[in-house]
Formats: sequence, structure tokens, C-alpha cells
Amino acid sequence: MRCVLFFLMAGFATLCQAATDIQVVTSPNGHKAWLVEERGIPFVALELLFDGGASIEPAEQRGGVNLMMALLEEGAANMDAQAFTKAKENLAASFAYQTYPDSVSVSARFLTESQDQSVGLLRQTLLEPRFDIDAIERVRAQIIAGLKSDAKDPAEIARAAFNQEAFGLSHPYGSDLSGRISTVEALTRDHVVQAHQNALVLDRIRISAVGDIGAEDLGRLLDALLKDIPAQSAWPLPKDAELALATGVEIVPFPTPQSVALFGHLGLDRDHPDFFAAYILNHIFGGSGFESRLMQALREERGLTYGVSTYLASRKYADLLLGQFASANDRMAEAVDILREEWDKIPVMVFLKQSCNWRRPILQAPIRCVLMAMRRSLKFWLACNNRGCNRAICKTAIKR
Amino acid sequence: MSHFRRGWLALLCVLVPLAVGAQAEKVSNFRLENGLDVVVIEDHRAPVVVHMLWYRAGSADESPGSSGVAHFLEHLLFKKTNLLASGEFSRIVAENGGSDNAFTSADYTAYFQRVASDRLPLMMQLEADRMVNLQLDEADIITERDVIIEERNQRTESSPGALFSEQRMAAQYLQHPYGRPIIGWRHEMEGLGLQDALTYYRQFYAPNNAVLIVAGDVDPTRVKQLAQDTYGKIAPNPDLKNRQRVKEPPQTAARRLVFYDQRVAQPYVIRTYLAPERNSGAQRSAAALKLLSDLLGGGQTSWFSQRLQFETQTAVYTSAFYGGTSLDQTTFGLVIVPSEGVGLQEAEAALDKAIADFIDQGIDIEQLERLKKQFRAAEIYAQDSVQGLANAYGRALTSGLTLEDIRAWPDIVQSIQPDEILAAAREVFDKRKSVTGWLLKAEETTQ
Repeated sequence: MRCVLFFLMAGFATLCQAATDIQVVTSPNGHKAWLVEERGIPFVALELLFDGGASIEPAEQRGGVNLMMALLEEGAANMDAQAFTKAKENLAASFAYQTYPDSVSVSARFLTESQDQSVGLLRQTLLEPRFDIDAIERVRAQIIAGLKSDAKDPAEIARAAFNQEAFGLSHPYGSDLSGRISTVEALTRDHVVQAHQNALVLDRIRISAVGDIGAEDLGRLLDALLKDIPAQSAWPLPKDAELALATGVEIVPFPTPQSVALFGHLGLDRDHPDFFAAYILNHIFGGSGFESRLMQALREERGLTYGVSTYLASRKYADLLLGQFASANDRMAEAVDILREEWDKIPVMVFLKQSCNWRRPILQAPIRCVLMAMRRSLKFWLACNNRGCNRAICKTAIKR
Repeated sequence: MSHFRRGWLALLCVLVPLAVGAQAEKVSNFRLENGLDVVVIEDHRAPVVVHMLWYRAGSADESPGSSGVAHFLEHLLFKKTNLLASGEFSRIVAENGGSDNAFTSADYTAYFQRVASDRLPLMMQLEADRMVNLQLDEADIITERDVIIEERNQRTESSPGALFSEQRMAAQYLQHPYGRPIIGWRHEMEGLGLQDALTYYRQFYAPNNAVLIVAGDVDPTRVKQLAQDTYGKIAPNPDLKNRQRVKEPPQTAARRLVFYDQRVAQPYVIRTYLAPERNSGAQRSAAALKLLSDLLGGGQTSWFSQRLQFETQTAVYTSAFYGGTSLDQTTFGLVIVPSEGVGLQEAEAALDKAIADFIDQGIDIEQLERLKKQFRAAEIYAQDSVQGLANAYGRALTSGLTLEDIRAWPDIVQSIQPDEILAAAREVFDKRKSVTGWLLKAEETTQ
């Protein structure tokens, strides 16, 4: 789809013609994968993505999937954490295990010359992780240290407050996937084992590979890697979140010289017919780069911030449009005002003609329609200095 | 928020130099008559090019009293020129489907665009234009100064760790400009004006003070022609001087500081030692220090990790860092973040004991071999990122190194012997050349 977007946005056909050739591979045992064969450099990058992620764990075990994923590199089979790391270093392979709200991922990179050994080692981490008690305690302490740091970080404070109001504590999106200190402290080895059995299952897997490997070899590799991985999970996927955002401004007092503003409202599902119209709209309004309307209004024209951006946060179980910037406490109220003004301009703008100098007046109607739907509520969360910006921002809020 | 990219400050000292050199056959270079050095790195996998112009001038080349001007000017280069209106540069790049940005470090300032390779001529024309044709006015200065102050707020004032680091660097260098923050001291940033920016611009922005890196789906012959037609038309600056910064006096007494901030969630200790950098034709001691930092602090199997996180639970995190790619004398640093219930005094003592034991017990040969193997593999993995390669070449070439030095580096690292690493450790771990900093949560009463 990216190719289509490029075409619309810049009018080049050349990029599309040179588009990457993606093969769909099915292994002898039926594992499906996307493959880009690239023989120029002797290594392979392999990505396994399992739907569900941190959103499938029971609320009282919040942080369990994250702890489990962090422990996959802390020892497997007959190797403790040190022995495993030495084995991986000997192969000069790298394995990364990540936890996201909607998925967990395993990203591997290994040299062609030691492909089989690397895949064998990766398999041991997926199938036979040790979850040694000393490793659990070491990683638990690191996670708690991170949670304590987040509690002192204005951007994290704003995010936590926003998510809690938007999704409530009954939906997993309402809380940090690392857990709260109390839930992380309460996690046991049994919880970690449960998370392992339920998060890494074959009927929720997606696979892609890029590099020095062909379709047949990849099929064999996947069959060897994934044999005996559980087929299904006992933890169901979550339901769609009900958004509970009311228009307005919330302030979280935190003593620091520059406030962080997080703002957002309803977004669009990726499968919505207007998604790409909204995507282009977002690019114009607050997308990356210096050309967005918000960057022009807040930074280039007024110097109110170092950077502002918005993005379509289209998650599996909720769709938001989110944005963020930071301004000195005494300038935050003005920045919020300007941002609201820019927001209000959206529905009446004819972006394609006036703003962008694009030659094709396409997608105009969908953009307008999307905008009308998207305007419903705009919510700000600010983590800022109590003494600095409260009053001015409250005034702003009342004006609305 | 790191994706708000214009004005990246390169965080050099924590980056391990990227391994480059293995694919030297794809790298060619030439010099234009006006002194512009050009390096072409070919990668034909995708019809894309990264066009980067590096100036051999950074924050350490600023005049005293105008700290931050190198980075300020970097922002201002996106304003009006003879050819373009203010902001038009980035707009044209975007309209051509590309992305652009710039970053400033102590030793260099760099501008880059990533774009379809058939748009390279346009990028070269625009970048050559702003090398000498900037047309700044007072309004640009005032707005953009607010932007860099907000940038400082975001990067530095909002982060106790960044404020602490700024104080440590100032304590590490008594005279040398590496002691000044790249973004500038706040009180000096507030006073930066048009003349400061233009003085720096006219002094340092010239073809004979720049390195052009073109990486991607390009033909070197064609790049040469294009470079001659664009950059080649700019006259060199005849008054360009050698890069002689003020010399740091010998450090003969250990320096200590304690930084308090209420926002600190996790106290820690950092110690840095003055250390030699990679020098042209003389890179062995830097290669030994690079391996030393990996042996001590590079992940789970490192010496500190084993001693302080596995055998004892003194720390939740330990690390060692060494910024070898640097024009002048650099630092070798150690970090320990103590476990809950362990004080900074105890943590620092454990770190000292770990260093003493390391020197006492010698190098684990298997560990060294694993590191060397990983370093070789890193050269293969590095080929996947044409922008990463362009960065590595640009940094080295603006930090006093040559293409020969870059090509020689991987073999030098492989050839380092255990006794060289121990000798480097004994040399660098001299407390008299150290700065030890403690970062602590402020006592309620001190506020």
C-alpha cells in the first residue's frame, strides 16, 4: 500500500515499478510467510509476530507477558542466561523479543554461514525457555526501575493519564503493558509460564523473512523452528475498547520547566474506506516532516515548540488520532490555542488545491467526510508545572 | 519525540563506531578543484540515494561566548537563500517524495536528504546553493531562537540525566570546547544573533571545509559530473584555518560532582576518564579501548554484568562507553545503576573493585574472540543500511580520519592482542584523569 501512497503523493511511477518482490511462501507443514529474497548480503532477517500481545493477559497479571518476553533471552534448555548469550555471541546472531499492546514479536538476524545453528538456538528460546528464579528477579528489578523512571517523565505521565481515561482500567489499553509496580511484584514463575503458553501460539502467528534465503529453504527453516510450538491459546483476544474521552483539558501537575501536551480523539480503522484519505489528511495536518500545518503554525511561524506531530493510532481494538508536543510552561497556553485554531480550520480547507499544490484534485470528498466525522471530540492531556501554566490553560478550556 | 529531527544533536560518546571497510570496493572518492572531498558509496538494491553534506565544523569550533551557534546556524540553513524562500528547501524535498534533515555535533555539522535517485541533481543544486547563499533576516533569527530554546527545554532542561551530563562534561574539560554543550549554554543561546550566525557561516561553510557523501543507486562518474556542475562552481574560502582548538591542560586531580534533582527516579554513578581518540595512521590504542569497553560493559557476558549483576546483585544496569571517533581527546566512561537498597558509595566501590579485578585477572581469551567475531559480523550487517554507512564515513572524515584509516580499522581491531587491551586499561583508568558524578534525588529540604 505504501507504493500506492507514494504514487498519489508525489506522482512517481518509478518507485512502483521498482517495488520489492514479495513472495508468499507456504512451508511443508503449512506455515505461511512473506519472503523478500535479497542475495546481496549474506544474512537473513526473520520476523515472527504473534497477535494478542500484552492485551490477552488477565488484569491481575498485568505485565506478565512483558516479563515473559524479556526472559526469553535469559536462558534456554541446558543454558543459563550467560551460557545462552555466549552461544548467541559465538554465532554473531541477534534475537530481539518485544511486547506490544496487540502483539509480541521475535526479530532474528543471523549470518548465512551459521544459519542452521542460529535457528536451532532461536528455537530453544521459544520452546524451552528456563525462566530461572534468579533471572526472573533480575529482570523484574529492571522493569520496576523503568516504571519508576516513567513516573518521573512528563510524556509518560501524560500518556498514562490519557490511556486510563480513554480506555478505563477494564480494557488492557487503559494501562501500561509493563504493568504497575504492584502487579509486577506479584507475578510468579507460574504466571510467566502461563504467559509463555498463551502468547506464543501458531494460530496467531505472522511470519516474514528478508535476505539471503529462497522459498524452499525458508519453508524448511520454519518447519524446524516452529515444530511443537502450541497450536492455540487459552487466553482469548480482547474485545473492542469503548472510548470514554470527553472534550476538554486535563492537567497533571508535575514540577518541570517544559510541559508536554498529548491530545487526541477518535480515529479510523485501517479497513475503513476512508482510511487512506485520513492518512493523507494526517500527513498534511501533523504528519512527519516540516511541511505539516502544525509544524508550520507552532514551530516555523511562532517558535512555540521544537516539534509537534499527529498520527493515526489505529490499533486492533480501538482507533485514535493522537498528537504530542512540548512547550515551556509559560507558552503552553498559547500553543494549545494555536493548535485548536489549526484543528478548526481542517473541515473548511480544500487541502489539495490551496495547501499542497498537488495537481490531482482527488480524494477531496472523502477527506471532507472523514474530517466531519473526526471532529467530534478533541481531548488534551497536559503534564505540566502546577505553578506555570494551569490558569492560562484552564481559561483556554473554559472558552471551548 | 526523537522524530522531530531537524537539529538532532549527535550523541557521539555513547555510539560504538560502526564497522565499515569490508565493502571498500564499492566506495570511490575524488576531490574537486575547489577542495570539496566527495565519497560515493554504491548500493543498487533500490532506486534511492542518500545525499549528505558534512562540514568540518561543529560546536567545538565556536568562538567562546557564542555556544550553540553551530547548531543554531544548522536550523537557519532551512531559511531564505538566493534561490529559495524560507522553508522552501524542505518543501521541495517533500514534494519530490524525499525526506531531509540535519544534525550538529562537537566536530561536524551535516545536512542530508533521502530521495529517489533520479532527483539527485536537484538535491545537489539546492545544497550547493545554501552553502554560500543564505539570506537571513532578523525575523528568522528571533523565531528560530525560540525553537532552539524549546529544543534545549526538551532535550536538556526536562531531563535530570542530561543536565547532569552537561555538568560532567564541563568538569571534564577545563579549557577544551568539548566542555560546552553542543546545543549551547542557555544564557548564551538567548543572546545569539544574526551576526553570530553569519560570522560562523562565513568562516566555516565552504567547499574546502566540506565532505560530500553520496550513497545509493548512483554511478560515480555521473556524481562527479553533477558535483562539478553544482558545488564545483563555488569558490573555496582562502582564509580557512587548520582546526586547532585550545589544548586541555594535563589533568592531575580527580574531580567529583553530585547533582541533585527532584525528578530523579533512579540514582546512578557515571565516571569518565580522558582517553585518546582514533588518530590518522595511529588507531591501535583506540582499537584497544573499543574492545576494552565491549569486554567491560557490552551486554550480558561482559565483565561488569557478570560481576555486578549476576554474581552479586549490586546493580540493575552497568555499561562502559568509548567515543573513539573524535577530533580531539575523548573520554572513556563507566556507568552503574545500583539495585534497590544499594547506595551510590557502595556501588562506586563495587565498580572500582571490578576494574581492579579485571586488570588483575587478565583478559578472557574466549570472550575476546567472541567480540571480534561479532565485530566482523557487524561489518556484514552494516552493509544493509546505506544511510548508516554514509553516516559512518561522514563522521570519520570530519573527525580527522582518512579513507585509508576507515579501511584499515576493521583489520586493526582484529589484530589487537590481549596485552594491548590490558595496557590500554592501565593507562586509561587513572583516577587523576577522571570525573566521577553522582546523580541523586534532591532532599526535600534542599528545594
